[in-house]
Amino acid sequence: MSVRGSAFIAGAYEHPERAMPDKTSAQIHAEVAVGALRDAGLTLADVDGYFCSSDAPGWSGPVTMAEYLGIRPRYVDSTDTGGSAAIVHVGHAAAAIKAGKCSVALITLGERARSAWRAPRWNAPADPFEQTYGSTTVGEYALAARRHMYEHGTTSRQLAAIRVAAAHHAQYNPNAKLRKPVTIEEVLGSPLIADPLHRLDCCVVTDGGGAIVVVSPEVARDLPRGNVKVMGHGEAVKGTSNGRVDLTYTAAVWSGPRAFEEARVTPKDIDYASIYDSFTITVLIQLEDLGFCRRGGGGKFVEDGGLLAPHGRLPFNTDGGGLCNNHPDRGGMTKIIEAVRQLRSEANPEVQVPGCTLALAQGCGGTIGTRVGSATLILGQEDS
Amino acid sequence: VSWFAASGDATLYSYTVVRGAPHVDYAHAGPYVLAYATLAEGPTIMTNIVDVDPEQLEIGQALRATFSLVPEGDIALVRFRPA
Repeated sequence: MSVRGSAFIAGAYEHPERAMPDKTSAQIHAEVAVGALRDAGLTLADVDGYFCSSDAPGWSGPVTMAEYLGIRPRYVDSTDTGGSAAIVHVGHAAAAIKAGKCSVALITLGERARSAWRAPRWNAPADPFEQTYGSTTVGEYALAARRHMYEHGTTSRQLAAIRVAAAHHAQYNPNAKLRKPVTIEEVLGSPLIADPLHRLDCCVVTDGGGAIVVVSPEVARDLPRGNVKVMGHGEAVKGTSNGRVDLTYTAAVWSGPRAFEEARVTPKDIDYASIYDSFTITVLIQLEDLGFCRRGGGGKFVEDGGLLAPHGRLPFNTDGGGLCNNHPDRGGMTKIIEAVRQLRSEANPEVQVPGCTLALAQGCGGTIGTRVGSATLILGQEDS
Repeated sequence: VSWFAASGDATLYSYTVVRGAPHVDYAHAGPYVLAYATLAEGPTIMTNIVDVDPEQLEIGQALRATFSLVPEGDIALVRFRPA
């Protein structure tokens, strides 16, 4: 079964705030739900499918939030693949719509990562063999970065170029957490957190949220504004293969081709890409995984303004991304929202890609130093 | 899958010096080397490299297992130092 053309994104909304110490997680979920439904021209009464992940409160996000929102969904999904979960949800929503299980699917994310960080549950089989050694998220990404440098000659300057591009875009986003442009020298001069990664190789940590409304073609037809077509979706997970560790690629090598095949397009056709950017190295490796450049060619690809909007080789993360705009522990939701803005020509004018007809949103949950959940979404204009 | 005795020989697959935002159990340890070591027998495992100036580390270099006793438990951690 292919989801190509079987569902449309009718509404998208990013919470404008980046620090919300006095709001509950449920409030943030509710505010973005209403925002995205209003954007679509729909109301909570229209929702018959609901999707959220473990950032939603309670022992079951959908059960808790359905009560809080006053909705009665006939289809729920609480898939958790970490930062990529929202991108997985869009694929699952499209499949559910195609199967006739729902027709207006609401996907919400709300997380107080800055005010009230949720500690992971350290009960996975591998934890005693990793946490014991002082493994950290940034440390694990650093292990991947160092290995990529060793195998492919990637440099810290090339990684810094990714931050420079994100910061350049963020200056035009009034809601971005960090709006000041930076230079390569400033990235390289920021403190080492886990070498070779500097502080400015790392994403921001914010309170934040966002929501997406996915609808059937029949619902889309009657809505007042243009919709974004779901063209293709792929998901995959990767671990350490029980000791056969290879940190130079992520599960995007599998989720990407699945999405491209379903959408019947190739990387060359993509006008704009939201690439998950928990760290600069996350972007570089996923660009290779998705086939935007050859394996080991990521460093060259991102140099010389390769990722800059509107005219770079592949304009990316025009909202400033997780590196500068917003990363409420999970960045997949904002990846979708900015891709939708680009396809609707609603990105900030300085970074709007002219004639943007095909966009990609790539998510990477977990850490590429151990295990990840990857999701790839390809979106097009309504008549694609 | 079965148990076997490993030689303790390994090579360095990748490493980092964790400086800022350390793991909570290492909060007072100062910078420490987090690494993956590939055992001579094949598997790659996460570990620490000890008794080394991190500036001298190179991916691919030979390592030798060493054991650290954990103070508050009846266990030992397998770590590595340059061979």
